[in-house]
Amino acid sequence: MNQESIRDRILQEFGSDLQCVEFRDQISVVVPKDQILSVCSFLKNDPELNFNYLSFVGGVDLLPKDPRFEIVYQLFSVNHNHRFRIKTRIEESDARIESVTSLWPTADWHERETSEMFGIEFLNHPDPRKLLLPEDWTIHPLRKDFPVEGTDDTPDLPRQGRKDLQA
Amino acid sequence: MIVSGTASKKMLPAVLRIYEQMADPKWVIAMGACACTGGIYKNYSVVQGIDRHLPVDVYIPGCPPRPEALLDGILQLHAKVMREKSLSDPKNLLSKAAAQ
Repeated sequence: MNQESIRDRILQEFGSDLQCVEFRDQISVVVPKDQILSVCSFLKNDPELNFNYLSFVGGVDLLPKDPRFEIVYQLFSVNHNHRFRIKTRIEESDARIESVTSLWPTADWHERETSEMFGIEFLNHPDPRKLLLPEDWTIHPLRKDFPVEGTDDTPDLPRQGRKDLQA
Repeated sequence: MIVSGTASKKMLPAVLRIYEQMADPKWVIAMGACACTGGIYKNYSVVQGIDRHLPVDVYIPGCPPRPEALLDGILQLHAKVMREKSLSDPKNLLSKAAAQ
């Protein structure tokens, strides 16, 4: 399927009031946050679409726009060799979204990275630890208002002492 | 030991642990711009020079250092090791210790 017919298929299923974005001849559909699981489940299980592979999950900080955050899902169907992108927007005041690991286990690490980098909580995630940052850090480096050269919250060594020296 | 690349803050405790596990006598070479100063990574996650946490003996600049630079660094360290009194003049050192 080409991307226009994929878009139409989604709109036909979930209502034509979903926002579609077209940029450089690529179409993406913006899904309401609370529908993300049902849309993803449809995209994966519908025999015509059959997006059985999740290439990537990432975040965008759109500061100073409101809603501030955007989560982007890049989908691929191995069987049909077609791709599509869906997005969802998240308010800063309620930075939480349902995890899609139940559909695509590969979302695990992508969501952990997005979670620590933007400070977004993924609900029902099987392993909600940090992925890349030191465990004791509380910063969210990919937020636009984070100073890239670091703050007092990014010390070279953990303030509570090194874990490897503790009994 | 040779610190051969970017030292991230998350990896720093592991680097220190390896250093502490080495038997004395020990020397440290900082290899490359990143190990010497943090290099181009002036950001929140990279240690701005491993000499903030380890006693570095030889700095090898370059990004990346040429093989000749690494060889030269090792030879410089050889020279430094040979300047150790216990190696270059062990007898004199022993007699001095006996006199005290």
